[in-house]
Amino acid sequence: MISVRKRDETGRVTWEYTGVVLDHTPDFILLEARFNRADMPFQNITLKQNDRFVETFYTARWYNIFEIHDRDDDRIKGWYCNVGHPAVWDAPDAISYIDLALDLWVTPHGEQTVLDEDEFAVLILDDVVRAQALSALIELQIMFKPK
Amino acid sequence: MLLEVSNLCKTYESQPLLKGVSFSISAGETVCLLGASGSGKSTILRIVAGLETAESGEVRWHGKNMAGVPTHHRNFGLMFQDYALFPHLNVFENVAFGLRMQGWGEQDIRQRVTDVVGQVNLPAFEKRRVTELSGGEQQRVALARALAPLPGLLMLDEPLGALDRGLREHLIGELRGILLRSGIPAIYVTHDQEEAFTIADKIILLHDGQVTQAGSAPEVFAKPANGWVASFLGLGNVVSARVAAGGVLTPFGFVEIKTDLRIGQSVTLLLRPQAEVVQSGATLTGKVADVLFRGQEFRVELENGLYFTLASSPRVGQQLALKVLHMEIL
Repeated sequence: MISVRKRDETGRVTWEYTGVVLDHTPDFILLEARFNRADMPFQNITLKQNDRFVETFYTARWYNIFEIHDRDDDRIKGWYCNVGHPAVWDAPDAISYIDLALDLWVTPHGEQTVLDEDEFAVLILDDVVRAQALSALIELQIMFKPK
Repeated sequence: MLLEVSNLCKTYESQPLLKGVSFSISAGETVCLLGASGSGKSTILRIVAGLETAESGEVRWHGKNMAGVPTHHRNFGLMFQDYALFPHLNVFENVAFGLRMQGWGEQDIRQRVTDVVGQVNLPAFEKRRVTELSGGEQQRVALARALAPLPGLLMLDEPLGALDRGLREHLIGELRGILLRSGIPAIYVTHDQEEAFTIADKIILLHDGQVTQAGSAPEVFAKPANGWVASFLGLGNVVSARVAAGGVLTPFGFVEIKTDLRIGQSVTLLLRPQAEVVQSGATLTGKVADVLFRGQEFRVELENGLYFTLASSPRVGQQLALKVLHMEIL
């Protein structure tokens, strides 16, 4: 069991939860976590408490990917991708990443929606980080293309 | 025409990156966008894919303007240097990914994945985890993943760039075979002229935001459009010269060559490397600075900066009179 810390661009921890490590290499950490908030509508689905999140954090890529499985029948409800700095190990039992607001939501049928572009636009970032974030978004859009 | 790209313009950090780029692709054709880094070739690919927008210009697919069509609704497969595989899925599930998204039935998925994994020569790998594979194997899985949903067009951006040279040379030939057999037209982006010559039916050379030359590999090789193309492709010594009576004047002396151009005009002379040592009728002379063994021949570098290939090795320091076998005014 490890902790995952989401940080804002100033480094402040804005969300923390725990998950079980399924696999890890120097390049990525794969873990399973349960959605720990009350049921809430999101885009075209409902996120339910205890939905199973299979989360991939990369140590050199500027994004992470949450594959969301329904708590009742385990079907995939979509992929939530966070654009942010590569993940780092804070401690042997904790990883963290700096979130850069920009997200990509992908439905099981491959419909893609970019979220929070407005929030990303007003973040105070240097040009290199901004460019990294935008190219990470492009990489995600390519990864999730149905064709 | 299957794909028609016309007059793409784009600025990057207030510098013009693309200054009116046009090209087209016919059915079954592999077109290679070849240029140095920063030439805008990857940007062109992203514009065609719908991941970036051009400031002006058009992308037409089967005659239809693609403006406003989001990337996930374009029937184009993409493959990048950075494999973009999912580490939590095995080879089969990675290749099946797009098919599941499109709602293919389980049996059709199984059949298609088996076919395409066979095509890329990874038949026994379906159950393997992608993280256990070598770089070359991962790249084959990425190709299988891109081919599986039968895209109308495949786009490959420096797909072999992360691999070492020996493996690249091996895979490029294999990739050509796979593309030919699949019949899927492709745009292949690279900065490596050998890769381009191997894989392309048509090469599009990009320089300074424009298409400098387009043609088949033999055409481009035989008739480079200008000095930049000849240098970039490493076709020989590219030399500035001035037309004189019966030839041209170069920094290396007078070179006899036929031309109808007017005397005094500035030209670019291409001296291709094949040469032989002669007693009389030399094109030019020079002192040997270094000799490199190249298997079939010797690459001879002269103190004046020119290089030639000779069948036998001269001594370093030897003064040579050389007849250049192929040269042309560009």
